[in-house]
Amino acid sequence: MTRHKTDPDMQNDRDEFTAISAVLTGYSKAELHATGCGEDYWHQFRQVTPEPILHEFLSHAVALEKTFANDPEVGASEVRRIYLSSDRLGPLARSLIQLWYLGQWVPLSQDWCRKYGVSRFNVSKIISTRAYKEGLVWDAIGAHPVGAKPQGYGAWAMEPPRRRV
Amino acid sequence: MTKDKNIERDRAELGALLQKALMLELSTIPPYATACYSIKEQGQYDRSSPEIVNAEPIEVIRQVMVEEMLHMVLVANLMNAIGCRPVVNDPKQLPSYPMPILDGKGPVLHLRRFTPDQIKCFREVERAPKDPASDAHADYETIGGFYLYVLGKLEKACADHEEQKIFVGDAARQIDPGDYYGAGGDVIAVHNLATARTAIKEIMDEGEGAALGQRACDNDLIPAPEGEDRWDIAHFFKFDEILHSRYYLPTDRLGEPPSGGDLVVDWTAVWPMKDDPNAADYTGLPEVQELSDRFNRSYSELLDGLNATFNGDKPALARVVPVMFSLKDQAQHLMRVPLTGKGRGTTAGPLWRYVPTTKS
Repeated sequence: MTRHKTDPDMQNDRDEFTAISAVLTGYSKAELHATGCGEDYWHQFRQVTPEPILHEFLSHAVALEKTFANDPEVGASEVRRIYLSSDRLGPLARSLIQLWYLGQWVPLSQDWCRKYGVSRFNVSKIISTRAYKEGLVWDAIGAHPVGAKPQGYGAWAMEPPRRRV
Repeated sequence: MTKDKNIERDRAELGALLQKALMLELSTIPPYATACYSIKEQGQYDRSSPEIVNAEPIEVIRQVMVEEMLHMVLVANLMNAIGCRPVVNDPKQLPSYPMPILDGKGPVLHLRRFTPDQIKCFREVERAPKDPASDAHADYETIGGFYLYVLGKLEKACADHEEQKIFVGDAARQIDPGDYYGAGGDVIAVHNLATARTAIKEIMDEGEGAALGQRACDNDLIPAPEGEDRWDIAHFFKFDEILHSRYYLPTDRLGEPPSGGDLVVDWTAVWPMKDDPNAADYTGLPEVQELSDRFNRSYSELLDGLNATFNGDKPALARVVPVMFSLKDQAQHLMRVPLTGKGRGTTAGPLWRYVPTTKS
């Protein structure tokens, strides 16, 4: 695991990680905390990301959060400009989004690793049983995790919840 | 004419008492559910999976909770049997915490995480009347005593008037085993004094155990891991089991500690939910407020659905079952969200507040 010298308890990094996760997933920070998976995801993300890139990745969090609060459209275009179109940060951002939605780490490509650094933790895996159950995808599509969180007899006959657009 | 007036007065008095019973049963559910859901790592009831922390206390509290739900249904049946309307979504009557029960003569109910103090409080809630004969008066100090008092009033009303003039309710409003599944014992449709007695006896038997011949439990078995026996003991003793980290055996005597197998409890594997959270704790935290509001809306949807169920719309019961599951999920979500400011170090929790919904 990479050691981070600048912030021994890493609380700031942790907060920035939650903030940028909220920006990238479209869920609030409270909703991300509510999954109970944040700590594990932060751990996984740190393990696969070389330190300088991690710092670059997190450095935009606070500003982007504000931009989003003021004007979501400007925020979205900033996310595209800074993250999604970047050869370096784009693949990381996409894997992070999938991590929150699926509870699963989707490995960075060999190309990316050759350029920016290899981690032995960069392998495909479901982070935990809770990560599977708490994937944002279930809420986003108005469904529930198959085989977990039962809804009661006959629930299949009812309209799915429409909480998210 | 005077006699009719008397019978209506008696009916109204019984209705008011039973309405109080309905609220009493309801008021125990949020504290039980909150403590149960605050435990980390919800697991299946399976002792062969040691990585699942606290599966056993979760199961024990869950069993008590579903029995309280059954008791609500039984009380609603009693009310409908005598032609009174059960109400479960009147904000003026709904519990708010902390809340003293039995007009201040019982313990104070709190919304707290799973701690020994909270389980001791639950055990107090389920304490049996010391002397059933004397507790049947208006100065009852236990829930069991309160039900004895209600039963006494009902018997007197039947003796003063005719039984069939008391039990005038619409039989179609009775929730029966065909409407209810998977939870905490048998639903009893109430049509006369005999079935009313059975219903009240079931509530009391599950709540406390003094009527079981000085033993902690009867010999009813409940589902348990293969190769092990579990007896369906009264709530008081279920909470006692958690506090002693040990199961009761049917041979255990009242007043003696349990002597059965280990019941593994880890008091540390619990989300640090703030005690008795209230709306003010979420001021300035709009994201938490939003989660809390969602929870309250679901809780209100549940209460509205139950109200409809008890007042003629029985299919509403099946519709609110998914809401109950969703409340569990949402409560667990809230308890993982750290609070900032003066709540630092604790997490949010469900408020269990009724907000009028537009739906019904």
